[in-house]
Amino acid sequence: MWFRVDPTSAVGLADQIAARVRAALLESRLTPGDRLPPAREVARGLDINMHTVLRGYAILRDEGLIELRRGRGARVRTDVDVDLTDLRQQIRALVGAAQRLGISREGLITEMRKVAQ
Amino acid sequence: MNVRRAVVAVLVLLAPVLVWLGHRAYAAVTPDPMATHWGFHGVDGTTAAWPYFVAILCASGALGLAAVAVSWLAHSTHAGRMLTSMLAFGAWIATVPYLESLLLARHIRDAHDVPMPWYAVLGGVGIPLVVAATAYWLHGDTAPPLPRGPVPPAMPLADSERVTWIGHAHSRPFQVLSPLLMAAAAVLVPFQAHVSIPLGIVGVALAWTSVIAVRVDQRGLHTLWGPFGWPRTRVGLGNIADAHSERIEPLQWGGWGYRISSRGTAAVLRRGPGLVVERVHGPRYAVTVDGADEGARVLIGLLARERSRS
Repeated sequence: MWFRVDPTSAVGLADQIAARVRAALLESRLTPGDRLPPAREVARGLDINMHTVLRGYAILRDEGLIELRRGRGARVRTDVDVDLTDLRQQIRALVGAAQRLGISREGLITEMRKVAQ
Repeated sequence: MNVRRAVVAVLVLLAPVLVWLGHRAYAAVTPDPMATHWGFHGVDGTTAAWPYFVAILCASGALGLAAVAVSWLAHSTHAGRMLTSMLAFGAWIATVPYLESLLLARHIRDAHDVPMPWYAVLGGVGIPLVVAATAYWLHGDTAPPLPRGPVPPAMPLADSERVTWIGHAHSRPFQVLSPLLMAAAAVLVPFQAHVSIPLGIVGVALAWTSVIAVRVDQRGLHTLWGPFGWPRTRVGLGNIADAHSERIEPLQWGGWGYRISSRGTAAVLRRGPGLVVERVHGPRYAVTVDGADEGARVLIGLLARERSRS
């Protein structure tokens, strides 16, 4: 699988790596049980610190998308919910759009409540 | 090329014909049983002439026919070329010593008096080697160009972006075989240490070549062997003229493992998708890897960006 990062972007490198794995899951390029490339190799390929890649993987672990085991690498969880991942991705995009429009977090929640009612 | 292969066929089938002619010409003037083995102190083995002739004729004929069959059926592969050459060697190594033992035994009554001078020993091995080399040269490499898949579109890359692609390939037979060999080696240690050591070495070697990782990045194409990613080889981005993916047929690249053939060099673990790069300096390089299409796309993207910069 490929990873792409832009060091000049406002988004952190670890977040960019996590975003790429999420996208691969949504595109079905990654499926439950698949192994992610070793962090060391990803770091070498992108010329970044290995801990940055591991931080990206840790974000995905905290989201319940992958499992990280010492010495055994990272693997997509077999019980991963791709639909929920998709929804979260859309929420993330929504939060980003709200930030660009200068809408506060509370303002965004209010707007969402209005739509949901 | 067909003419060349016909010449190869004549060359290898000449061997059983010579066996037959030699028997016809000299059977009457050579001792029976005939001398068939020599030690440091002269003849130490004799065999009845007629069964020995039949055995040699069958061996030479069978190897010759096998060489012709392989040459015609597997002519497009490097392995076919190698096998033809080896079978030609086999047909002639059966024939030449037989002919020599007839020629040297002419008009000698007792088979134990037949000499075996050094030049006959040299010829017995040298002539088959020359025939094998000639067959190899004549056979040539007639492999047709491989059908290329559609060239994948380059991945568009901004100047500030960094990209890497990582893929793997596994050899299932090696993955199954290597632990079996290592287990067999471990069991045999107390009984047959001299067998268990080479067995263990082969098991480890198979484990080492059962997995390969491939990385594409701004430095080029990296191939990492074995479970620990070592040894690793690299084709620098500046030395890559073009890249594409294609279906790799191991026999067309000279077999499995790290291969050097007229088609180029290749790291081959299995049949299937592979990433192929044309080098600016040096031969083409191919590596079997899953998802080679995507790898080629990233590599072409990196090449395109590199060219737009210069």
